[in-house]
Amino acid sequence: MKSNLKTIRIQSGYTQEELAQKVGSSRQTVYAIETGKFYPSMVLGLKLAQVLATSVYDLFELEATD
Amino acid sequence: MPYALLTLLLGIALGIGYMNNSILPFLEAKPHSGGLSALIERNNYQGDLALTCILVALYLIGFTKHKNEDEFIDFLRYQSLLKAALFQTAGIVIGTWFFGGLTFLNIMLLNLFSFLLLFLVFFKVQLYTTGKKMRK
Repeated sequence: MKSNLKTIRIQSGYTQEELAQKVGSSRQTVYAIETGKFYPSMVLGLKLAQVLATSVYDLFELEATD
Repeated sequence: MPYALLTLLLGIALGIGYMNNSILPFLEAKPHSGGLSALIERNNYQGDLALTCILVALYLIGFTKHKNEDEFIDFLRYQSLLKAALFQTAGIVIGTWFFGGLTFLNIMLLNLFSFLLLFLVFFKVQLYTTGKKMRK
């Protein structure tokens, strides 16, 4: 799964810390999602999409190997 | 966490005392008079107390909620548990094949703590390395 979180977050003007606070998570979690080390749960994915006013389909993309 | 560390230190101190036969007087056991109680007969309770303190402390240190507890921390815990299980099993298998007698018994004794210890090491290292990479 490819994560576009970093690009969209920067476009929206949020820092990792701010975004983490908005979704009730930690900066480490946001960092891990951005670097593809961790895939968030559906709840967290939806929260991220809501805060960033976008769709989960824009945030995450399935890859051919998925 | 401070209580857990204190408990760990107490456990280690009691354990060292137990191994050197320095038994605290109030932990001496009265001899049993045979029967079923003979099965669990012991000279003192210091070893039992030391083991309990160490195991409880390691459990508390490893599983107490992190200050940023969330699903990523859960994920790290899960990964660390898997690795700890793998390494402990490998340790027992290797110990079974390559060691015998008292050495094997010592390996088994170490195995009482090894799972929690390995989990703790893997978990803390993963937490530390993620934090370090993030700050770069």
